[in-house]
Amino acid sequence: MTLPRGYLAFGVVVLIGAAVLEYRGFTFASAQQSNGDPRSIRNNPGSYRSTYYGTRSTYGK
Amino acid sequence: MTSVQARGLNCPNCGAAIQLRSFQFAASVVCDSCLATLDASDANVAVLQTFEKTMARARPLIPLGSRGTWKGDPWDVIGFQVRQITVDGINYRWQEYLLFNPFRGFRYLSEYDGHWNDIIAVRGIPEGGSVSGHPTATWRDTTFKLFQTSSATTVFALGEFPWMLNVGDVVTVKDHVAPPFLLSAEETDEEVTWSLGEYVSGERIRAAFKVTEPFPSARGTFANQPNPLAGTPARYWQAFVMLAVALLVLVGLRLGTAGGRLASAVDGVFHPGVATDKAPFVTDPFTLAGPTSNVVITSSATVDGSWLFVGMTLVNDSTGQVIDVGREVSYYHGVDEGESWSEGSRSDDVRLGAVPAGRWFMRIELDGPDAGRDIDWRIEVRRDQPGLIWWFAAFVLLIVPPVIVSLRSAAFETTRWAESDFAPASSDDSDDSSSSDSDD
Amino acid sequence: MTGVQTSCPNCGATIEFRWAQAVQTTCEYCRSVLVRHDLDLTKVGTSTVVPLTPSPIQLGTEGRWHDRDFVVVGRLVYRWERGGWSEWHCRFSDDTSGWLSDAQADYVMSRPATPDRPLPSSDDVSPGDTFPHGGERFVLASITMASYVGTEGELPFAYAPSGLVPFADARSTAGNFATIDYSETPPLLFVGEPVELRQLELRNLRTFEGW
Repeated sequence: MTLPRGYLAFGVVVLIGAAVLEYRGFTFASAQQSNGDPRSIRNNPGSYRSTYYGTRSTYGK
Repeated sequence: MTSVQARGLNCPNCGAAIQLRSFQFAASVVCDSCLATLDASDANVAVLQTFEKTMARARPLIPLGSRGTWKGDPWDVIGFQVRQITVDGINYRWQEYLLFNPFRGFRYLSEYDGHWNDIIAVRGIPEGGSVSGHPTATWRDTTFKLFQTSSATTVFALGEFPWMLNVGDVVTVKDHVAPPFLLSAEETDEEVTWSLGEYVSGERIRAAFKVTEPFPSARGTFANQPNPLAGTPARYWQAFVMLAVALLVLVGLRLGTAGGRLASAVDGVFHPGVATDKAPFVTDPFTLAGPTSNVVITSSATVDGSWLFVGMTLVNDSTGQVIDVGREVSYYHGVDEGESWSEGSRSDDVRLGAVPAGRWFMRIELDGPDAGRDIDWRIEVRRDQPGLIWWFAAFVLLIVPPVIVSLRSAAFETTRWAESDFAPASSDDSDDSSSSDSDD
Repeated sequence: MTGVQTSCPNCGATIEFRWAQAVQTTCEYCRSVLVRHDLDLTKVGTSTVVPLTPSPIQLGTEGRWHDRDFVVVGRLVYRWERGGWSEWHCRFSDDTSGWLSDAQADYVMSRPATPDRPLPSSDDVSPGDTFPHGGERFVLASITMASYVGTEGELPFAYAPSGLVPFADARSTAGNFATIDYSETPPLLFVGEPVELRQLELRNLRTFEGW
């Protein structure tokens, strides 16, 4: 029984792709949330930066 | 002994000259001019039937008298019949061409709606039976499933035949299929004859008999038409099994090797109402080992009917790359009308994808209720935590093609059997009729 | 085959035997049916002109079946309601007879067989009946009332049935054929198989105009 070559090729690509995504640690939300924050701690006085508050959600009960 | 000479005769009805092509085999012959059926056996030429016009004169696609090479032997087309069955008040007609070779005997080519079959007589009696309630006939180790039982009438004939043909003859036909083969029983009061047909391409027949006019193309799916995807689903599933095994091996390798190493851990206590506990602070730098992989941050807090918001910013010490993450850890529970309930969890995981290796630190900012018990919290940063999501995605992608191929092959079979006496479910016909689709 | 020669007692023509032990033969020229006592021939009747059959087989055709060579030395012709057929007498190299039944280009090669148990009488048979033979189960397919038309060539017995002779044809699920010939009492059993002409590696066949 000859095996379908196209499907096998597709399958190998899928497996390689899955391995790469897994080993490289990709997630679905892999888009980095980079908001132009200061480059190093020396640029970060630890006080108010509007970007720090951008991702805050308001919770409460 | 001298060579057997071809013979001719004159039609006793209209006087036309008739040339017989099958030597002494011809038992009956239809006069091409007046369409009377004549007894052609030996010297006896009597009119058996005069022509009663029940349909317009049919024209054979392969002209009578054509000689072609079919499966290695020369054959003459000597006879032509149109036969008809009636299902749900609709007439379905098919054509049969009688082929002759004095050393090989007879065979038939039948054509219905562009589908052709090469048919020979079967000497012997196939064995009847049934498979899962479906009647079958078995011949030479092949089991054929009953496709249709019908009453077939000869409505038109041309040429010569080795039996006494009568226009109007009725036989009960039982067709059994094992694609590409068709095993048919034709039954009269006196006897049952069996024949075996093989589905063949019209183009091949056209080429064999050098017919210049094109044949009608095949419409729909015929009883013993081979499934173009026959055997394909099995091949795909076999390949799938191989790929699935490879997938399992990859998963095993991944889960087997070390991962999810702790890169950093920070803990503390959040005191509700203490403003300084809401102040952001920075962790010591830690190393995220290479190569690029994921980071899983686990935030846990001893919340009970309370919440803690953990805002984290990962900053790469050298490149300045920043990743912002805000997570809430909250847990509530109670008893409501005798049933206990809970909401949330005391720990939370967030997975960050494709984080480059290097020295990183975290800026943490906590928020929580203004009153209540102290909350102990802990944040753990793990590097290269194995997950299953991509393997599941791969599995889904791998299974799609064999499923599609299987469904398409099954769809062809459904179309095939829709024309039979055993059409699946939807039709509300009684047992002896084929599907209600009138466009056959 | 041996070329034993004698002359026809009726017309004087030379008769050459293809088969030395033929019991009956027919003179080609005057169609007298002649029964043999050694080299003496006695005329017992006349055979009608045997109709030309469509068959490519003729007297003198040679072939091979199951690794044994044979020569066609004689023929019996029958007629029934829907046509005629021939039984060609084949003489095998192992000195046995076989019969090649020839009907509408359907050929069956059979040999005489001894029934395992007494065969049903002609009044007792009907299609669908079964009987065992040689480890197989044969199912009666048809009963044919045939009339004997004529003979040519050499036969292993003196043969001149009159009236209608019933023939019962049976088939086994393995595809073998059996025929019960009621021209004698007790009836004769022949068992064989359908054959394609090309299986028999035939030589010296008739030729057909245009083929």
